[in-house]
Amino acid sequence: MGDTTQIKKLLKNVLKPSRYTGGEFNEERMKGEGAVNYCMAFPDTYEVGMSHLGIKILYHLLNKMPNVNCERAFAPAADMAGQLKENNMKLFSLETFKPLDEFDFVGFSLQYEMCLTTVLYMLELSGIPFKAADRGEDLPIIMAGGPCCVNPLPFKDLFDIIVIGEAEEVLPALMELYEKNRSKSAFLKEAQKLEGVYIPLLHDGAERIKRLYIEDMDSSFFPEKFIVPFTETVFDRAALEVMRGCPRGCRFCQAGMIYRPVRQKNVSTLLKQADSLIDSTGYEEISLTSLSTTDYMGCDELLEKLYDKYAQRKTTVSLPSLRIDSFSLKLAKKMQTTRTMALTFAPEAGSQRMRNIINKNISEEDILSTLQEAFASGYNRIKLYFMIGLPFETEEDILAICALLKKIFYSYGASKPKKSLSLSASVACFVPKPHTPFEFFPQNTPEQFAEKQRLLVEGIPKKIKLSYHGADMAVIEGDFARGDERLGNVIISAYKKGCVFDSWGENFDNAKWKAAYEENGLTPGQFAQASYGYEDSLPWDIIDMGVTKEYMAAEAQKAEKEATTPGCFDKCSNCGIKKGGCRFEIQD
Amino acid sequence: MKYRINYRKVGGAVYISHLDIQRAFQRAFRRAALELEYTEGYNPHEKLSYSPPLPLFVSSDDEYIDLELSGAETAQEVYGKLTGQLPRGLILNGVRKLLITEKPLSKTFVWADYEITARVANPAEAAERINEFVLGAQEIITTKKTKSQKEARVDIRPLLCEFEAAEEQGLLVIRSFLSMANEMLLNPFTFIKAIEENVPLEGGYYIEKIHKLKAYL
Ligand code: SF4
Repeated sequence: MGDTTQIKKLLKNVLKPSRYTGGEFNEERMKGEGAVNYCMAFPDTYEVGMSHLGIKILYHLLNKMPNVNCERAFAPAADMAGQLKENNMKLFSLETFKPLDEFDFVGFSLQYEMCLTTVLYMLELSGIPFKAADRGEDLPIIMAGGPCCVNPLPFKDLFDIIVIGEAEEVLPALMELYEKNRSKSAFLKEAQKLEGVYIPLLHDGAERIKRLYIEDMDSSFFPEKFIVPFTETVFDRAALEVMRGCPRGCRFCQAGMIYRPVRQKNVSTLLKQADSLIDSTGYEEISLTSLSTTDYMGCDELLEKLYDKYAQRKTTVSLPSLRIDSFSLKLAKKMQTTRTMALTFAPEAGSQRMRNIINKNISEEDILSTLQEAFASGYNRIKLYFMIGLPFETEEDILAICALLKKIFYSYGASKPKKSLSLSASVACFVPKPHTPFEFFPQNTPEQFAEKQRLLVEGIPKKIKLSYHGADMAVIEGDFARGDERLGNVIISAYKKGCVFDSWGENFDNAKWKAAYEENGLTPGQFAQASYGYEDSLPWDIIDMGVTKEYMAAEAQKAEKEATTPGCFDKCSNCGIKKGGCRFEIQD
Repeated sequence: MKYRINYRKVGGAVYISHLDIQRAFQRAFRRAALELEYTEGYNPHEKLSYSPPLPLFVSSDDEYIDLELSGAETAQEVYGKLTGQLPRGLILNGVRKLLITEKPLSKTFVWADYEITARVANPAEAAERINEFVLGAQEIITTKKTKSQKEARVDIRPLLCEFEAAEEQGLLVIRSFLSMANEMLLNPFTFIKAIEENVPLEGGYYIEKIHKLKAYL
């Protein structure tokens, strides 16, 4: 228990104090003396962190263990950080106001590359040294997990333990191990033997760490009660994950590769889980989440049943994103909430050639006919997502984005709509990610990105809203995605220069990052722009994702030839994760 | 059927804003499977109204919500369903049915009975000086922010009564009725600010607790 009188004083001087005080409905009760104390730390604000379904599942999972307490901590806003420093106090947990350095474990969830400076911010506010090697026996064991860990080298020096893959599979075992063995060094030696556990200080640099994943989603842990934030979070509704993984196999997409194989839940499981979620939270909306919900085999049936169930209770059912096909459109119409009046689609590339390269199996006719159908049913707000800087891209491919947008824009009038069309295009700078077929290829330079953006600005009529980000942040993201241990000190230098909350675009300060690289004898982009042969060893080779490198190389070569690969639901392409291919079926 | 819920807001709940309290109750009603009536129109919302917002950091024993249900549960049933569905620090005092003739919550209350506890250097002397000032003052002028964020001068003397300051267990305790009337609401922080400005103390005031004991008709 922290110093509550002191903390009460601080709370009076900060905005939105409820972000630091917990006490939400379904918050877990802490057990007394002797329990292992784990602090789940999220390197972003409360509002962002509490939007994550995965965090909530782990929180309830750990607290269900008889001798484990799991508390929460988020990155405090600048006013709170200032108050803590001014009063010589440490960052504290929400449940019992315990300073982070008094926990047995502090586990960070790394969801995106640009959160690393915020990890340092939380460590510093807790009085915990940044590097594992500088932390003694009595300081907490600092852990990391989450999708960023598929290439842990850039930040390996910061952590005692890095969990590779789905943490549900190993966290309970780690807690049990610690319960029996409370000396940090002895515990780490034992922990190293567990699958999916990477302990950088003890690792020999060669042995491959196998990624963990849940085999059967139907029998995996799902809380009966979910914590309900008081304050509005970024994602303020019940999230029901219908499947993990994506059957499509787009070559640029890291999630599509690192969450293989696709694991679907049965409809009956989902109906039960929906009840737990809605009954225990009182949320007014339930969103069916996954990388590609309309591909879920039970989608139609599930939606039908959820409508029946919830219509009476005025609980709405929604899908977070749609594909460009008439099935998705049919679903959108069915949901007919005002929210879905803006349709978002992701063609990703403008030319057919490019869509073949990235294995986005969708034709221009599909796009145009689906949109025609959407227009005819009254949709007049459309948002499209594209990427630039993809491998083998030429000027023609960029111009094809402009041409496609124009075609869509001018096809709108055909059905004589009453309202005018609001068409917007968001164009991202591509970051080649490890464990994807494009892991071998260099990222575009900022100059190349700028030139492509110029082509877009010139080629797209003003009536179409075009948005794109500067390339600088994408370059740093690229480095941290594809880099190695030399980047560890860059994170520390950047933080010392004042970089924090970098993932919020407006906080990103490129000049400071550049200086941080220079201080360490490196240049921004040198890792992102590296090009590898299919046989070369890659920094992230120590991580065994299950999908083989040979498969990645084969896919990259097919991309070069503009050849496509069918998705897992159509035909297994032997990615290596399951000999003989996966079986996909669901039960009612 | 219309009901009036009476609840307390104490402990950690003092950090929850009025808007978040509203959201918390709406979700509690859904968890309790209480079927609320909705307004008609393009953007229907639940038929709910709340007693005037309590500022952050202020606790209260006497807060209210009116709601309309489509069913005809007894007040006791509503109480039974709702209890257990409220987050820590929000505690039910009771539920009763409303008569059609009753005024809405915004027009019901006139006075709020507050107790303010502060740490000061010399509480007995401070209490004496504050009593002398408030009871002798024809007007008490302070400034407060208007809705358009401008500073406005107000006389709060007519907005308070039953005033008393005293020393209790080494602390300064101020009790007063503050206006809760529509358009003339006196925020306890504005009230304390006025006291601090008019009776400055060496070392200042450190407010430990602001608590609303009761709302009066
Ligand atoms: S083994 Fe085949 S079906 Fe399974 S994930 Fe790999 S490619 Fe898809």
